[in-house]
Amino acid sequence: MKNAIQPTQVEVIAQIRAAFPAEPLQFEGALTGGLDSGAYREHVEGKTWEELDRKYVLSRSDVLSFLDTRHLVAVLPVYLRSLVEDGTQTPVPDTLLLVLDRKNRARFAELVETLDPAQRAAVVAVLEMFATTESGQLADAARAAVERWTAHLSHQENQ
Amino acid sequence: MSSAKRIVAGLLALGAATVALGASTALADKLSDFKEADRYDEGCRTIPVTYSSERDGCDREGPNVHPWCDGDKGPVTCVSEEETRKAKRGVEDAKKNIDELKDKKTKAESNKSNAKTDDEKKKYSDEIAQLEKDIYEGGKKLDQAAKDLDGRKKLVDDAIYMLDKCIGYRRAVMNSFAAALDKVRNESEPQELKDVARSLRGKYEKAKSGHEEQITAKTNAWNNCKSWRP
Repeated sequence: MKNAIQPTQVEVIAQIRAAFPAEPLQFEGALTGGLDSGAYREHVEGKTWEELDRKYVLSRSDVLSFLDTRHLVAVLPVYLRSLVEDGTQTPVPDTLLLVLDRKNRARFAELVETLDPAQRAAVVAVLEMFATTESGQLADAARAAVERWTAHLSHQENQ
Repeated sequence: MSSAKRIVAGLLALGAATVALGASTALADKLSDFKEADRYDEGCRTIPVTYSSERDGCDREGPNVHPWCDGDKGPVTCVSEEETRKAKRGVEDAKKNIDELKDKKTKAESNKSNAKTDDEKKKYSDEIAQLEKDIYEGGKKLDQAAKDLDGRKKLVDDAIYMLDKCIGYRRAVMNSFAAALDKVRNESEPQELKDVARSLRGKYEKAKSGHEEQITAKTNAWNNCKSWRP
């Protein structure tokens, strides 16, 4: 990717918006860790991902470790957008980069399979942007995730 | 059989029946307890009260997780190493600026003492006066930079403290689920209890895995803070 032109922040946000339509979230029964008396579920229920209170939702990135894949994908765009806009200013990357690069192959594959091609491309674009603009351990984690996603997707294409 | 023997035999039979009834009641209570726990999808209530130490541990430590992990009580991220570098650079640059101004002032004072004319003396006096003002302003900038560096140190120390607490509470909750998982794996009789136990086992595995991932996330953040401390 030497000398490749990097998309701008605005372009990557537009890519996220195009890939993840703003539809009302249905979170009844979603697993969120079970220690908040259902506060996260109640907060997101019926809202679109664009309508969520960013401050609250970003402070609760821990839910990404508990949600099943369907619910994870439903709120993923909020957290992807934060990776682009906020970088390391919030705790989101600490969790999201682990979730997007789970060592458990089955769970990783399940997430990739649940996303459509446009959503997968958006995830890779976000990870690439984060890896380029940030530094240190989190940027290294993003680079490792990009490599894994790229390898997984090219392997799929070749099959 | 003598009447005494009949009485003894009767008492023994009654005792056995009482024990059997007690065991049956205990089993029914346990099954009911497990079924109650299985009504919940997640959280401490999925641990039956039969597992009292695991349930108590989860109930006691669980409410501390979000206040300490979500940033309500203080910072839970140190943002980036650049923030530390920037704060240190601010102090270094301010000190360097003052040193340069002081050198210029020394030079101007030397020039002034070697000056031949009143005009020259006035020129260097004015220069010295300006440099003294600049040094004073530079001192204020240094104070501000030092405050910024202290602020950075405080944020990093606060975040290390918060993350430490967060990880501790999260680990305590995870351990409750891990211990409950170990116990529930051994529940094999009767079949009805085994079925409920299997359902609970799936819930504990998910809970343990989720808490583990969160512990990793916060431990990574803690390690970053430690290495970025000014």
